[in-house]
Amino acid sequence: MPSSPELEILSASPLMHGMGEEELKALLSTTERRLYEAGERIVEEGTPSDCLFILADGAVDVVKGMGDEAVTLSTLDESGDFFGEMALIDILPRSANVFACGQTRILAFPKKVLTTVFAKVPRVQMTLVLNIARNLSLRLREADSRIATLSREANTGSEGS
Amino acid sequence: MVESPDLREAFLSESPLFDGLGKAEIDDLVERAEIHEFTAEQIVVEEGTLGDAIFLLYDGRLSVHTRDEEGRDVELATLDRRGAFFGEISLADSGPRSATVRADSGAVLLKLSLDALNAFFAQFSDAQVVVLRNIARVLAQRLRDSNALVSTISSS
Repeated sequence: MPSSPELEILSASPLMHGMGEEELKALLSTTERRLYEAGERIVEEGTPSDCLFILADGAVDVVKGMGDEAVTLSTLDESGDFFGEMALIDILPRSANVFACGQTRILAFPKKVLTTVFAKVPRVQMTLVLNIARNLSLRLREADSRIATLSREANTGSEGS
Repeated sequence: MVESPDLREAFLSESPLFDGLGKAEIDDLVERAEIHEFTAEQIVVEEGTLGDAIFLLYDGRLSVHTRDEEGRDVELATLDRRGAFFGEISLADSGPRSATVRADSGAVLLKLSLDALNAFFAQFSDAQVVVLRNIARVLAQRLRDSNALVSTISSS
């Protein structure tokens, strides 16, 4: 099978947890392969969400805001990491910028193409949505524990001054 | 009041969790929902325990708490809007409760256990992806709010 390394990337992605080989192949047949150079912007905050991305190779920074206001929310550097998945959930614009850290290979899945896969294999949509919800819940737990830590640091800081 | 099936039906059909479901589906959920009453200071769910139900607030006021690394209480949110819900994470992720929810006043809640929801999904198979997408949407909104709060605290 020619695309087997990509199939391995997909099957290792937490987004694909529980997906069968036929389902992975159906998805892979729709992917657009993209190459980004260091510093190149992959996703622009505020623009329409129309595509899901899976990291094949390299790393990306997820950054909220620009310039002095910019806060790096996370860095994704594992093959199979994903972003832009909210395109499958709601119609809100992109909530952050995503930049390539070095030369980065991405598997892109445009929403329009995915919709045709969902129509043919409904279980693919169910599995993706479940995995997205799981991942959101994990990130929400992390964000809330970061808030608890930051609040404590802020309190300690004000006590010290 | 909340005892009336018609009102419970209206209440559930207005919840963003069940957005997109039809009348037959809502009627079925109404049958499966349990009513629970809490008095002030009573704990509704406790951080660290197994999450096995979704709760929707019908009446009253609740607050959401966690503890920082030193065990001090941090209030994450207040819930006082009719229809506000929590515990939906348990549907997607069978981990422990991520926070404690406490009644600040007397409160009436509708409870949908995971068992009840799974039985519902077995009967209405198309409903599962609809509800999961609604949950993901809500989680995404909460994550956006939490990330905004992280940015605010970090830059202050």
